Amino acid sequence: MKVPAESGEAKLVAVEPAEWDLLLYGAGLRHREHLCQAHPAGQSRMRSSTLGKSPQFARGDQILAVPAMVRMQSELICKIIGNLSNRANVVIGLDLCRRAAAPRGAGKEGAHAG
Amino acid sequence: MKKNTIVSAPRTLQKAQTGIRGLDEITGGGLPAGRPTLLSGGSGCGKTLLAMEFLVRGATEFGEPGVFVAFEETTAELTQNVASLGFDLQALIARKKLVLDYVFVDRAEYQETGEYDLEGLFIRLGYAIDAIQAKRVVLDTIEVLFSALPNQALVRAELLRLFRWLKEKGVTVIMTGERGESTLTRFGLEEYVSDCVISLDHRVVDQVTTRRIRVVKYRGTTHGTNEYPFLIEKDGISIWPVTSVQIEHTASRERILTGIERLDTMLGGKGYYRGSSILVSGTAGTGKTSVAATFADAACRRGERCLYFSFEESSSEIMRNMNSIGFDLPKWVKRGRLQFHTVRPFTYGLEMHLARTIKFITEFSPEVVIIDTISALDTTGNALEIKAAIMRLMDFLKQRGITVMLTDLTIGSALERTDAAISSLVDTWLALRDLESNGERNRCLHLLKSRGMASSNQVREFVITDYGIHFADVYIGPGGMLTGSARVQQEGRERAERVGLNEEAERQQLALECKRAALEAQIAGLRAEFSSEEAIITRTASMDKQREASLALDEAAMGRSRKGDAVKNNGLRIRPILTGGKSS
Repeated sequence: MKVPAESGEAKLVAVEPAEWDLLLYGAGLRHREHLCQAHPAGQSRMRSSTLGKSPQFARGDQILAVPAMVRMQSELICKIIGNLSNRANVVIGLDLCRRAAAPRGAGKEGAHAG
Repeated sequence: MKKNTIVSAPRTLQKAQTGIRGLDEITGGGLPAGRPTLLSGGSGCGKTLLAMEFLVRGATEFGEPGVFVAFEETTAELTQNVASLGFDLQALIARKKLVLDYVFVDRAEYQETGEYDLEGLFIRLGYAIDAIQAKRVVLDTIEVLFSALPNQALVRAELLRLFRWLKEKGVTVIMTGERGESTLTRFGLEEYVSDCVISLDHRVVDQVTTRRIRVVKYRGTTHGTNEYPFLIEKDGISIWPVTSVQIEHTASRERILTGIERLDTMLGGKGYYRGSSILVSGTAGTGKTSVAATFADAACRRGERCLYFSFEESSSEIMRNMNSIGFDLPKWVKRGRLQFHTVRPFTYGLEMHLARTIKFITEFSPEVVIIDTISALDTTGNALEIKAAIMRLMDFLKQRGITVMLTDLTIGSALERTDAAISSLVDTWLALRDLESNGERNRCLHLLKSRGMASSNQVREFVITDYGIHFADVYIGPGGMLTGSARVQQEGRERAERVGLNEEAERQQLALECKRAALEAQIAGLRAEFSSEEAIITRTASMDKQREASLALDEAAMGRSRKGDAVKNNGLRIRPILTGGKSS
């Protein structure tokens, strides 16, 4: 498992509030600890779904690629795909953290759906 | 519900009928069953509609439920869009004949956090297929995945896996693809995994658009390779291929009347052959439409059906104009025997005109078709294309035994000009012509050709009256051919001459009578003279006899008085004595 290289380049700042509902589709929960490390202050309620047993969820949450993780807040807010090995992308993709503002110029916002 | 969805052909590919009019014909029975087909084309050329019709027909006509995976339109939009074709998707969904699945893929949504695959799509699709036991799947448009997911190599590999998986499931798949610059699809993948590739096209030529369809490839089967125009109308998509190149139709011996009595006579007394083609050519205003309308009216009178295509006049104009020469066409329209289709030639391309013509003919199934005029199609293509199109149309009509009358506008004085291309195709050719003389134009009809019958070689003058078309013999004499008022004048002169001759004869007769009367009178006079003379002579003679007798009496008396002896009267008179006696 690769440790993300960019952690030295930009500091990640946790986004408030630090409580999330996360739903993991597809693969097992091997990378949960990465999530916790990335945002140690946060509390997460994480459920997992093996799509094979409940395929209707794939339709509801528009899941194509797996593994995929969605962050819920009454409705779907963010979605990431992949095996969560890129830890920085996980927390940014789920809008759990943002990159700290760079000293010069505008900081790069974490990609997320509005 | 028909069950024969898969046309079984031994040792060859099994095919899934589309139910789309004409598509099964050009694909030789349908799409490859259980395999993927690519529907490629630019935007707005009808890919989604065709794919949807494939599912709807499958569900309603062939008992094959279908799944529509939409990557670009939401289910609500789709439902609305195809409602215009008369497809009620909600009802099909309720009956578990159809699943619409809108797959929303937005690149902005995806933060890649490591390796992944598209198992989610497989699961969704598998779930939908299993839910209704689908046999048909549409993926519209799968290339969205390429632009949504950053890892193209992965998408490619996953799609290949998807198609293998779909083949294993045994579903017939249509995927749509946007045409690339020089390839059938933008990413050049779909055409390789597909067993059948159909290209749709929406081309503008001379500001006229035509939708066309072509089977680009079809593994393991023969198929029509041409481009065929297709229509999207309120009852769905229809393709009208005129694929026949054989001349195999059986020729009818039945004859049908032309509606013009003397024209029937010119055509051996019986009119045209049923199922033959008749060309009526002529310059403007020579009465082509009148001949055509007469024929239409005659067909309707026989109780047949006639389809009238007009490229120049509206149906109400034709009906009004023909009413002025005594035809009540609205009556036939009302009774459903006559149908007009009027459209400007430049509205469609040539192929589209042909396709529409064939569609209307198939729907109305008339016995007689009139196309007025084919020269209006000149704007839609070059002479060769038009000839080919007309030839295909005529083959189509002949196969069905439909009699067709084409009118053709010739320009200028050259009688046989435009028709060089078409005249060889037609069976009967009537040429209408203006003859200008004595400051007037008169219509003439030549029967230039009439296959398979004894026909008149004479020119007829063609007179349009309040009661239809009538033919008059043209006057052919030492002064050449006379028509119109010159003919009337000539006829008058001849009549007058005939009258003159009669009068002369009468006069001579009368003179003879007079002569005879005079002669008889003369004879009577002579006879009267003679008889009076005769009377005089007779009377004189009798007076002489009396005198003689009285003389004899006197002599006797004198003799008695002189006591003379009796003189024997032997009939001889001795006149000197008498005379002497008397004179003494």
